[in-house]
Amino acid sequence: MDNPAPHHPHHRTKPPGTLPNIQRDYVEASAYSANTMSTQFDQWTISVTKGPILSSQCTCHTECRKDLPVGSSVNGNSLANDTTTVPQKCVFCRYDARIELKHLPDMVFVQNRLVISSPDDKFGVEFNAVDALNSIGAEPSDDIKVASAGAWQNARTESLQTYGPNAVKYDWTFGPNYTGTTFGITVEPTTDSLNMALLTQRDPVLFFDEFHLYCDELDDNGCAEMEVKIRVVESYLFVLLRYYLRVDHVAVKLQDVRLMFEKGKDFMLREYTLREAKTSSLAPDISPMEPVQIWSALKPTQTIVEKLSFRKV
Amino acid sequence: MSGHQDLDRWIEQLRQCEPISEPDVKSLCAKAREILVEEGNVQRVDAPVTICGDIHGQFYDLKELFKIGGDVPETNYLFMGDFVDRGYYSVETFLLLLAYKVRYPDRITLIRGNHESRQITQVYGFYDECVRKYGGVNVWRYCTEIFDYLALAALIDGKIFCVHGGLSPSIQSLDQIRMIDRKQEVPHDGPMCDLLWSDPEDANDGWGISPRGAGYLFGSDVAQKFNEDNQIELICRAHQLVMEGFKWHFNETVLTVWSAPNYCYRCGNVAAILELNDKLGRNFIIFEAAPHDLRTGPTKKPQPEYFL
Repeated sequence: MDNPAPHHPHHRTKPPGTLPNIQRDYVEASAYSANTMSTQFDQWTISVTKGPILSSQCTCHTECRKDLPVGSSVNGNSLANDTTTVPQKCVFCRYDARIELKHLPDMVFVQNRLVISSPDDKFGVEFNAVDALNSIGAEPSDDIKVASAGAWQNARTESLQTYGPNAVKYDWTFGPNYTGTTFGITVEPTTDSLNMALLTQRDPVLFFDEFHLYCDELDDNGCAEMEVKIRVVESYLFVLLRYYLRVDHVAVKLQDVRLMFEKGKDFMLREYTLREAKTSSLAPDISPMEPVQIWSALKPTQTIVEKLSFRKV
Repeated sequence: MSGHQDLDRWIEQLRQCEPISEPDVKSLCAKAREILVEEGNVQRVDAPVTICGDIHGQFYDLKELFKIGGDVPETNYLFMGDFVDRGYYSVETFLLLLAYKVRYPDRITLIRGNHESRQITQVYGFYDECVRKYGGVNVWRYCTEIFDYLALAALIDGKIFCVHGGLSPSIQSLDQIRMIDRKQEVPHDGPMCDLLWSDPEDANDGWGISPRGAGYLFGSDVAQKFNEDNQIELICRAHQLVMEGFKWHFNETVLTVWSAPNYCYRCGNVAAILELNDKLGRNFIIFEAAPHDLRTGPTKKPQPEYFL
C-alpha cells in the first residue's frame, strides 16, 4: 500500500491563540465547529485548524438580529422568547473586523490555518485565510472576463444604455499576493532549489492534511480557490499553497507556493511559481479542471525561491 | 392506474438512492413533459407551502429535508431550482423530485435554476454522472429536455414571488415573464437568463453589472419598485450559498433560501427551508447534513497523498 496509516502521535487541541469556546446559538447552529489537529516534526509543532465558512452576518447579539422580521421564528422558536445566554463574540465578529477585502469569495474558511512553529515559539510560518484575503488587490491583474461576457453585453446594449448600470469593480478572480505569514524569520533570495529527488521519493507519510482558505465559483463560470496541503515524512516537511483560477473556456492560472523544511536544517526553502494559459492553448489531453495536469503541462512563467532562516539574534 | 403503480415503484426505488432504468427515465420524462407543458412561466401556488433553495445533487440531505419538512404529499413543496450538479447524486435527486411531480402534481412545484441547462451540466457534474451511471448520454438528454419545460418562477397567493436568481431590467411586470417562450436552453441573452442568474447587491442601488462581464446585480430600490408595481410582499430566491441557510436583503423585500447543508461536503453551512402557513406566516427550519453513516458515497476525509 502506498499510503500507510500515519503512526505519528496526533492529538486534538484548542486552536492556538483563539478565544475560549463560545456557546453556539441556533442561528449559528452547526455541527461543524472548528477543530485543530497537531503533530510534531523535529520538535517543531505543526497544527492544522479547520472550520466552516464565514457566516453572512453577526450572530452574537439579539439587537444584531434586526434583519429577522418580527413574527418570524426559527425552528418554531419565536426570537422574542430567546432567553438563551447570548455569547459575547461570534466567529463573524472575531474575524470580520480583520478582513479588509470588501467583496468576499462565496466561501471563506475563515478559521482554517496551518501553523508551523519552532520549539521555542520564536520562529514560525503560518498560512491563514485572513492574510490571504487581505493580499487580494482591488482589481484583477489582467482584464479578464467570463466566456459569455461578449454575447451577454451585446444582447443588452439597449438596456445597458437605458439603465446605465454601475460597473461594480473588484478583483472577481480573488488573485492573492500571498506566500504565507512568517514570524521571527529572515527571508532572503537564494539560488537554491527544492530537493525534488527527495520530494518524489515515496517515504511513509507521518502526517497529511489539506484544506481550503477560500473558494469562489465565479457564479458558475469556473473557480478561484486557495488550498493548502501538508505532508510530513521522517526527513522533511512539505507544504503546497495553491491558488487555482479557472475561467471556463477562457483561461487557467496556478500560483503555487512550495515550502520545504528538511530535518536538521536551520532554514526552509520557499518557492513561488506562476503558470497561466488560455484554455484554447492547452493541449487536448490536459483538462482545465485538473490543476495537477495543468501544473505538469505548463512551464512556470515566473519562479522565485527564497530562504527562510531562523537566525538567533 | 398502471401509471401510478409504475410511479410508486420508481419513487420507492429512487428513495433508496437507486437510479431507475433508462427506459423508465424515458417514460417518466414523457409523463413529466405532459404536466409541465401546462404550467405557466409564473406558476400559481397556494399556501401553505414550504419553499426550498438549491439542492445540488446532495441526495441524502434532500432526504433529511423531507424528514424535517414532512414528506410529499403531506407537505406542499416549492423547489427553486439547482437540483443537479456539484453533489454526487444529481441523477437520483432530480429523478425523485420529478417522479414526485408526476405523481403529485399539485403538491410539488419545481422551477428552473441556472444549473438546469445543457451547457452548465456539462461542466459541473450532471452530464458526467449520467454517463457514469448509465454508460451513455440518453438519460442526460431526457433530463435536459425536461429542464426546458420547467416554470421560470412561481407566485404564492399572489404575494410571494419565487425565482431562482432574481430580477431583470427588461422585466417590470409579471406579465412580461408570462410572455417569455421558455421552452429552450437557458440563453445568454434576455430576461430568461437574468431571472435565473442575477443577484441582489447590498452595496449599491439601481442596476449593476458583475465585474465578471456578465450578470446583473439589483439594488434595494429595484426590488422595492418591482414589489410595489406587482403588489408583491416578498421576492424569494436561491442561487447563493449562505452559511446560515437563509438571508434577508433590502429591508425584507428579498430573501435568499439555501437548502444544501455542508455544501460540496466541505463548507460546514447549515441549510434552511421556509414554511409558509395558510396566512403566509413564516417559519424557517434550519437543518444540518445527513449523518455521515447514512451516506454510501465517497467521503471527504483526506487521504495521504504524494502531492508535489
